[in-house]
Amino acid sequence: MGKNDFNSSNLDFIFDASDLDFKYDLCTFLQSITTEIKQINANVGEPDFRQIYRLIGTKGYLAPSWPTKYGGLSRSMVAMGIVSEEMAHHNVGDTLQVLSIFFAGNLILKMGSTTQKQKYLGSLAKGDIFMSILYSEKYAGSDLAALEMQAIDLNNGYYELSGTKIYNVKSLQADYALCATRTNKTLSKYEGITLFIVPLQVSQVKICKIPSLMNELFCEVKFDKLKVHESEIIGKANEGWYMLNNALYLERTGLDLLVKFIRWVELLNTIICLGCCVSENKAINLYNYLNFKLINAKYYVYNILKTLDEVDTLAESTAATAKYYLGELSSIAIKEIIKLVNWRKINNIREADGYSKNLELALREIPSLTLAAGTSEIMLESIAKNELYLN
Amino acid sequence: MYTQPIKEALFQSFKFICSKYSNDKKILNKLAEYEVTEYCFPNAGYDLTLDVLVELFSALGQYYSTSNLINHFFSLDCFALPGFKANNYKIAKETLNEQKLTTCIYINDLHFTGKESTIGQIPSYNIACIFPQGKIDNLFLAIQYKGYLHIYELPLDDPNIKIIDHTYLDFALLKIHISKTWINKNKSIFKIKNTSDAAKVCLARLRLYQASMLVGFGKKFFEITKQYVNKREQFSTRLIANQAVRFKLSSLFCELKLAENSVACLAAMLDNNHDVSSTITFAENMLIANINLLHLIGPACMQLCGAFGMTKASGIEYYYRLYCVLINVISYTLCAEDARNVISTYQLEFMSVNIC
Repeated sequence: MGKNDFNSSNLDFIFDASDLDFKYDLCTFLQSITTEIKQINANVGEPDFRQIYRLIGTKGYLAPSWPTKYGGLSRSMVAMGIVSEEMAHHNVGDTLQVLSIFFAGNLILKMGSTTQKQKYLGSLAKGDIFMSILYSEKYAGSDLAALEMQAIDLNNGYYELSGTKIYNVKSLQADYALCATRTNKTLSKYEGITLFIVPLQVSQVKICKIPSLMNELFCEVKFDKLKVHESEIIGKANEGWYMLNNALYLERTGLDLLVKFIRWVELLNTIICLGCCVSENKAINLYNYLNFKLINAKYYVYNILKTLDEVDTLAESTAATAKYYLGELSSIAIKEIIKLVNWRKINNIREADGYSKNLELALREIPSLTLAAGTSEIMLESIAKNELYLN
Repeated sequence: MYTQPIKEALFQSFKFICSKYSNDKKILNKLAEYEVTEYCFPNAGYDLTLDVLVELFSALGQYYSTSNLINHFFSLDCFALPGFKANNYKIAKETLNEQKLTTCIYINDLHFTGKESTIGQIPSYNIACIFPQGKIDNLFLAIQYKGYLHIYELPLDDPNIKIIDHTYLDFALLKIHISKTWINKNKSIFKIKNTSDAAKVCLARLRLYQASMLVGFGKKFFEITKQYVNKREQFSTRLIANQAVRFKLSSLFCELKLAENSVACLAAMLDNNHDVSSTITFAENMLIANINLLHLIGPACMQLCGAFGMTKASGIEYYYRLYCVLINVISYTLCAEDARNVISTYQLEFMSVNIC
């Protein structure tokens, strides 16, 4: 075990023959567009993979679990996992794909109206349009019940949205967004929230960049009297809290964090192969240890995806465990890898240039791993609520 | 393959049997009634998969706790190694039907000597096991020699085989000490070829059993502590009302879930004949991780149970004592000379940092 042995984390037995064929086809396709992927990764600034997503989308690979009539391949959620994993292996950043397809698209597929599905899903699956998520506000992060941005019912079939959403990502590359707003202040703070699909590329919406630790910048999105038709509401008005809670598991399968974790373990493997560690023995020991954790986490996440295929929902504590465990694990992994890197050596090897940058990026990403899409502390509370109290 | 409802019914049976009978032989007897002990012989018509068996060991850890049955099943695994002939299966089945507790020692470095190269001397060897009740009925020795795996039956009345009883806390910790025992290589009861991978898979199964039991142990710690923090009041508030207590227990819950997942993952690897090399590595890492889990969860639960946990009035005290012994034995087994031969150099270095 150790050098050049990353295949040991392959768990092909969790896939059926059809999944393996799909994986093979996808890999072959991604290898055929390696040049295009390299060009995008060579660009300075925030990476923009929309062009690659469109290429992937033409084959139906972007949202394989969706029905064919909505641009998918009518495959399982496991296929969705394979896409995320293989995109990571081929250095395709996944943030906008995760937001557009996994979070927004799946929520529309699960809870949207027939009109909304017909209007958005096909284009999302092809990579013709993209969506971001606008939940957080300055004083409302994990606690969505504290949302203040308002949408006023104009009683003519339209709502008028005004307010500011902050700390969202990829909004500058997105065409639409899922936006949670308060539509009724007289109800309890858990009621009166409505979920809209809103356009972003219009004059009533201003998007500003906010400096961030990460390469992917945060955005601030300001709405100034944007009129949105009621047909763009997901579910019913004032029932957004229910919608969000029931779809929360889509953000907490651990798949996105697993993909990041895979990247760090692959990175460690490369560093060992290049001989850029302060102690090779320690690095190989760490690799063995992380590889074990990776296989274990992968088995857990793919079982979650299989559960979603069977019952279309997930126990809150199962999802929270995935999010908490993988967030904390990835964070620890990066810290341990960084300790073992011989920086002087890695900076002197030309072919290691990209890896050096990735390590630095990984270090900057640490805080977001245990904060984004629900903090670790919220996950622990969620587990406590469901698992610790006696009936 | 058993269907899910049948598996569920078996799981309930395991829990019931393990919680009701506090004796290895009685448990073995009941398991035989359910035909579980024959799981390892595919040609017997049963195809009980390891994902079911790990539930049994988890239940053992959770309700009863002994390593004897693990040694017993490990021995049966040795009998069931690929390549055995039908008559070997018959002998093994007879051993099973007599419900004798069996332990198998694995040695990798025996050198046959003498003119005819027919006899070999077992080097000094120690093995440890927890032994609350009963005694070993059969002792087998597995040896790798020139590409073959030989299994010998060792006579327990041999004066060179000493079983030493160390009382450790409330439990008997047995050490089997073997010195200068001569065996005739032509008298092996079983002999199979190309054993390297098969023997390693056998050890992976042993580690699976041990790790399953550790998970069961962890679950018991967690359950007792959960009950306690829900009932116990301090400063007029239940302990569970404190965020620090909730966070601590929730993080332990996550660790337990993933440990349970790792055991299921290894069972699936073995059931699906996954690549041997990565399965072995995973098994070694998993056992070490689960030992570390118990080092985490045992003391943490004692802490959460406060002074109550330090008294015999609490169930956790019993489990804490047992944890001290069990960890000692499993770590001892892992670090024993025979195990060193099948554990990679890197792994050993990792262990020496994290365990020894």
